[in-house]
Amino acid sequence: MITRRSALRLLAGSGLALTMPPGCGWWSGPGPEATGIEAVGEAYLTAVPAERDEAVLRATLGPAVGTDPAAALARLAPVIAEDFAAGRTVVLDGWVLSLTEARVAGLAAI
Amino acid sequence: MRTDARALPDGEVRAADVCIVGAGPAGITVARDLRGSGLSVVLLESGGDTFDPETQSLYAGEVVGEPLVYAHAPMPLEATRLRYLGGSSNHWGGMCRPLEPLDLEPRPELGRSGWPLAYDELARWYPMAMRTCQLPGDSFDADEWFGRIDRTPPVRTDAVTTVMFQLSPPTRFGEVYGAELAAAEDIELVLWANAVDLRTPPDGSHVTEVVARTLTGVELRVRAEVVVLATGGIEVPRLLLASTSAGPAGLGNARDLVGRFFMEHPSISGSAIVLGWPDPELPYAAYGGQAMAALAPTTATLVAQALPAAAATIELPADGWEQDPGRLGTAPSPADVRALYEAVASPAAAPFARLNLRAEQLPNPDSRVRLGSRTDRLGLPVVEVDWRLTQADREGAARVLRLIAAEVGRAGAGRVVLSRTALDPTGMFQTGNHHMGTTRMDPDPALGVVDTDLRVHGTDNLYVVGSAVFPTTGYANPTLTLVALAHRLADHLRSR
Repeated sequence: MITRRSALRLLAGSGLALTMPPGCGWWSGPGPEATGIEAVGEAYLTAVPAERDEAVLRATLGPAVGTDPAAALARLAPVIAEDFAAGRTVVLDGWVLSLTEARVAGLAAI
Repeated sequence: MRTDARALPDGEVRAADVCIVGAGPAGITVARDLRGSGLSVVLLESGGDTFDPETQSLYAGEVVGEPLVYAHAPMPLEATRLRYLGGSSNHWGGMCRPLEPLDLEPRPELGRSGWPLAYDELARWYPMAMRTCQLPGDSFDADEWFGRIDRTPPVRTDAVTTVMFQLSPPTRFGEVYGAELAAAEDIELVLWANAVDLRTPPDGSHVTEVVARTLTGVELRVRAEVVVLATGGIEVPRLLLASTSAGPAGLGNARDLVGRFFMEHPSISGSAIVLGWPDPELPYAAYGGQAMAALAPTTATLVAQALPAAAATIELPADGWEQDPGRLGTAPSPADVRALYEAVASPAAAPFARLNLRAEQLPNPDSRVRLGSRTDRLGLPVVEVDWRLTQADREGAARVLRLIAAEVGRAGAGRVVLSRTALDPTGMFQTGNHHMGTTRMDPDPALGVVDTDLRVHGTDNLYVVGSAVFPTTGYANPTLTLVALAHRLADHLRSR
């Protein structure tokens, strides 16, 4: 199984990699890291600069977002399903995601 | 009976009821069906039993339009087909699926679409074609195939559904049916004989002789009551255009239609799908089994959104992702896909696969095969293939893939990451080595080269069989349908 850290190594050489400034990032892991979700999130924030604000995103996503992106996505699964059903999808770095998923990724990138 | 044309005396003349040019899936199927009919058959094959570089080089020509990209590399024309007994079935992947009823319907929003046949008239030949292609099952129903393994199809929404391809072993028609042809008393299989001319009287109404030559300098002439061209979507127009007994425009070409409407299956590869199935196995996602699954828009969606027919196969490369991630070209690497999905959604062992979209191309008279100025070793002009993709072709295929990606999410089946071509369809598309449309079928001589019996307009004894006669292509690989048409033509010839 690929761990998150090995995934990060794999991503390091890819076009999806994005280096975050030291001390920043929503991930609880240590240090500056490049992650897939952050790259996706950065793409979202670039496309929707008005949401490059943690408070705005947290308010939009609601309390279910919590502090861990994977857990947040699980909690938000019904909302994500509603997004797809309603056609609220976005394409970020090639990924076709629900708007909620994109916002969670955006939060990870801040 | 088998004959080596190279051993015949120069100037040899054969007489037969039917002369079939080309011993690929279509030609072999017609010949087999004519056994015992009382009709004598001469079946001309350019090559021998196996690949021969000199013979293969007779396929050389120029690609002057869009490149014919296959497996991420532009292909020289001679590499897109095979020229020996069994024809291109010798490199066939074996994917089979009938055309859909909508594929035969006129769709004005898509241009010159529609077949002049009722669907049932085509469909009644599919069971026979399925046996000829040695398919493992009787059904293409996704519920049935997934039910066999106690699963349900991965995606079924009102917009996109799961469809199944059956996989032929694949049938190598020369290997499987060659002995049967050799044993038939009423069939003479003539190997190493390259058809170079169709002789007619000045009015072009009747083929009096098929002239064939070997690379060793022997000329053979076949005089037959009926001539059937079964050499594929490039060589059929080549021979018609080069046969100028009745005029410089070529045979059957009074309306300048021969070679036009050349169609491929424009394909977008390199996208990936991460499936949220409960285990990492991907049923029906590899060659070598009995079937492959694909995702396709429903008929209602195609009509409502004016989309071209298209389907995306879910494929695991036989050698796995990790061995050669560079094969995806501009697409995200498999490692990217896995890692990103782990980061986004966390199923540790989420199965992921390649998602390859194959679309129909809209009929376009400017997309064409024509003769070039050079000639091959036998004096036959080489072809120029001017494949043209329109913006509508490109956008249509990309729209379907984006729709499928969104519906995968909507169905809760997983997520899709799109290749760059899917996002920006101005780049190179892949092809399927499917050459279609160049002698399209239409009862009106002003609109097609062959009629609904597959007889060339303006002639009384010349027929074409194969994907060259397809007026529209759907997304399905053409072999099953062209074999079905071959069975239908043989039935017509038996009663002619």
